[in-house]
Amino acid sequence: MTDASTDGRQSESDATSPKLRGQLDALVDEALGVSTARVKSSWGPIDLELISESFEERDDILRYLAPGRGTWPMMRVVTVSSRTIPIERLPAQMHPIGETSAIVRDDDLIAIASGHEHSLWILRADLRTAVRWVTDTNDVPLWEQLSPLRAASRWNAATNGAATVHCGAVGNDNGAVLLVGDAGAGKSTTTMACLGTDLEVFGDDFCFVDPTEPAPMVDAMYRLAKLDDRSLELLPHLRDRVVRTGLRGKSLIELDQLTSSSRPIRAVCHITRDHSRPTGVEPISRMEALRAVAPSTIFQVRLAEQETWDALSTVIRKVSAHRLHVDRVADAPAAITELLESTVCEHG
Amino acid sequence: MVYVLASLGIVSWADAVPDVAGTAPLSPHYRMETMTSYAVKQDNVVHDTIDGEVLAIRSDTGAYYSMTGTSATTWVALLTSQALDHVVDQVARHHNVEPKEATDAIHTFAESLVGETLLIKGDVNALCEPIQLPVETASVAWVAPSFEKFTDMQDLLLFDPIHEVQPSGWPRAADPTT
Repeated sequence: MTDASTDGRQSESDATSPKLRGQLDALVDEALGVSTARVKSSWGPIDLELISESFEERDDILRYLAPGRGTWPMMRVVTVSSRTIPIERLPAQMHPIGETSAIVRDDDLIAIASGHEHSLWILRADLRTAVRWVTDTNDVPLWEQLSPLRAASRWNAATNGAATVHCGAVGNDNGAVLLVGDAGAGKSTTTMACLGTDLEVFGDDFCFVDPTEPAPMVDAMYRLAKLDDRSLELLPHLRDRVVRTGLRGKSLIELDQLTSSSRPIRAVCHITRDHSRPTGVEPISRMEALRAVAPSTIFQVRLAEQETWDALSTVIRKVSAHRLHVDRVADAPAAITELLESTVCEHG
Repeated sequence: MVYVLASLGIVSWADAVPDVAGTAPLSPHYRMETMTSYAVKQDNVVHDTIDGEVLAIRSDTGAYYSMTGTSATTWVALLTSQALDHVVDQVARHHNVEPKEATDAIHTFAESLVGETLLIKGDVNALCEPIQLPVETASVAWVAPSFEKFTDMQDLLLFDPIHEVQPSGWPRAADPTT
């Protein structure tokens, strides 16, 4: 077992590693035994089996996940709390308490304890099973509630040669465009401006991206998108779609059901605000596009970094790269639609 | 192969190290460092070179680095883990400059990348093969290589409160000094 990191120290495994591995394996077995509320579904490209302690908790998670093609091998996600497995049963060095985090990697196992999330993830590749232990199901951080199972999705995507990517995505029958950019650059606003137009919205924050042949594909991850109050003022027609408010200045908006759960990616657009000229699209280097999407993608979920990077850079090489300079956000959908038409012409 | 022999003490260092430029003796500093090689620190760094530009990211801190022109050439050459004098030779040829003019700058650049924990010093790859360097940088005139470092990722993520990412990333390793 290698790459154990606890209390801010990097250390190689020692003689306790077989014991720790045994404890983590036993936790997986126990979680599978005590979690009984099962459902089979698809989550984007993932063929998902979700198992929880209660039907209520299972449904709380499921309501956020976007259904999809489910063509990847089955992934089982088991959620369990201290109600049924007390924290004392967790290995002491993996207690997710306070500011402590710990990562343990083995050939077919990754365990991540996060005091910040009050959670312990145990990811078993050989069983295609992800176990999430939490202190209290009512005390899950807001972003994990709204974008659940991100660690499991990142890990599972990596095992399938794909990635979960920090981007918005919109598309139509001509394909899809990934919308990338720094937080605050208008990525979510531009993405959500496409809702209710001829473009479909696959996601505003995270999407599955698969560098498959012949064309890389994007799949939706979540059914809901987040928009802050300022953006809602720019897009007042979306007020009717708000399903939840008061999320630290953001509102939750339900996305439309997609006519196709995945689309071939034609282009990556780096969103920038620019009030010196009309909204439009111009080519940029692929590296500029990669720079706009990769750091936040890698940094937000520190798991399967190399695999995620490889998938992302492969996709960037296969599609065209553009800057979408936005003056009036309401003009963005037309610019994206025009871009999709032009890229389809290029691809024949 | 010369360098392996030198490392085993079979031949003297001064005898083993050729004058790369072929016209002038090497500086003592250069002679000392020619056995050095570098490799990417793989557990925390992801990187790629596209169209002659390099992007490298430290996943533990969120810092990312951009390199173009001579910097991208030198990065690619350093990653081969070949001896520094061979790296210098190859980079110098690529940018049409005398190796002795590039030596100190490349050494300084490599050490700065070590300082950023992007590279580590490692064993010399003794094969001394030609290095595939980015064709896009071949026409770039020689300047001392350097990198652009970006540390805005932490601030940008914190700007968006929904992510709740802490300054050192996720998951966060606690600082034992605090």
